[in-house]
Amino acid sequence: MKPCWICNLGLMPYDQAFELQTRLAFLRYKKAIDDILLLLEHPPTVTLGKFGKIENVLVAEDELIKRGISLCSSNRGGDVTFHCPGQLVIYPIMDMRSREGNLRRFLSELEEVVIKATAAFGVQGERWSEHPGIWVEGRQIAAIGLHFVRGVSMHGISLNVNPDLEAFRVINLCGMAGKEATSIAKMAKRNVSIQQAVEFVQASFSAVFEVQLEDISCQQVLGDVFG
Amino acid sequence: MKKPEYNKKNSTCKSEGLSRRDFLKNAGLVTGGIAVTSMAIAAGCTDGGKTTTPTTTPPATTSPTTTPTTTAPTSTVPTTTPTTTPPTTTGNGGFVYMPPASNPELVDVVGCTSKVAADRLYSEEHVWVKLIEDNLAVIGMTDKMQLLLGLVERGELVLNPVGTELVYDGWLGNFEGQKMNVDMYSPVSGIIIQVNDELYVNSRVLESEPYLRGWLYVIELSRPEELDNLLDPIEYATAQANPNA
Repeated sequence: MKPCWICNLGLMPYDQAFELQTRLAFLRYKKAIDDILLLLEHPPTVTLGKFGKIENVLVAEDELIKRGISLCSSNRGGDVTFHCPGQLVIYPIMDMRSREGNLRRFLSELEEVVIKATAAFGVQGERWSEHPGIWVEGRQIAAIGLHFVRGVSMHGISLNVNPDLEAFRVINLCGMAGKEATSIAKMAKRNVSIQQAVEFVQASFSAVFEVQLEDISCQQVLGDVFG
Repeated sequence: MKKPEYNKKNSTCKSEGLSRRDFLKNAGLVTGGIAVTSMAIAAGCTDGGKTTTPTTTPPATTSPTTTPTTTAPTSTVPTTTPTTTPPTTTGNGGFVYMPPASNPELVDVVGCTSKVAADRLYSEEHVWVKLIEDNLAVIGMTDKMQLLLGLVERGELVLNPVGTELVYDGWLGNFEGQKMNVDMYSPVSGIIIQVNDELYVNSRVLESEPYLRGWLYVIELSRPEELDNLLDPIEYATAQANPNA
């Protein structure tokens, strides 16, 4: 199995995580590091993808600010996404140049990681061919959006573990009006912690991508990358 | 740099005791902040996660006599859906590139599973360059690139308009598929004098004829010596066959 670092960053602002991903992607492109999986949560943030439509943000920017929600642009694929605590964000920085298959397969494998992880809680996630991401009974439990820079992946998939689902109403999920979000905790009808989800995501990620995960501390990654 | 040993009996690995060099294989890159920033700009990103979102207007029509601008490329979003106002095709006084009708000879390198034409040069970023006159070149994405993208017909291609000045290793275009997008980088510097209109109405030629009708731009080269940086067909095919080299 190939090695892959894994780093749990805790709560990190979107902008800071974006900068970190950008630098890690460059280092991976230069083959200065191995693949690395970042696990984290973002403070309340609305992000617009490269072709995201501002009309899918249903609340004015000043109102977002009042509610403590940041609005950020992103170079990932997809439209609009909402992040908040209680949502596990999964960013794999992986070199596609040495992997079999195409980028679509990579996206599908990332979805598979989440399907396996939610299944561990008795929640059956499903794909919706026209709208990548993971859905449970018509509600979105995980949103996906990727960017590839010089053959290296950035961004990833966000899994709702136990977030405040009401907060998602500030956007049209993935640009679709009327769609609702759900979470593992809601569908499993019990408390589920981020740490519990992390354990299953790690296991399924290792199995799906056939990698040997190696822990690396947040301090070491940030120290090395940002000096 | 030596990598940490795995604990074969346990899927977890010790993080304690890892030095910085264990994470970063090349210490020199730690101080490469400027290079990182340059790459981010080339990728259409700016600092702090704010990105340059391409506009949703089609490329501006440029007359053949318009002097090419020297400003940075303008992001534009032509789509693969036929439009009522097609983008400009040529800015070179009537010069119109017509791709050959028959496939070029392909190189045969063991382990390379994509098609590599023998009559052109390549960048590591899967873009080909074919010289057609002294300072005129055609560029396009390789068969490997379209294989990586998959389902080209379901995506959206974003190209620069005629008159754009391309910079070596700068932003060449973008391919947006469902929930994912891929930046492309220019293998040469020069001015775009023709854009392949057919891609806006029939992007499948990127898949079916990457070395013929699937071309992207005709470029007037401003630094022809940059061609020396590119890979010849055997080198490119060998790199595909040995991606970990």
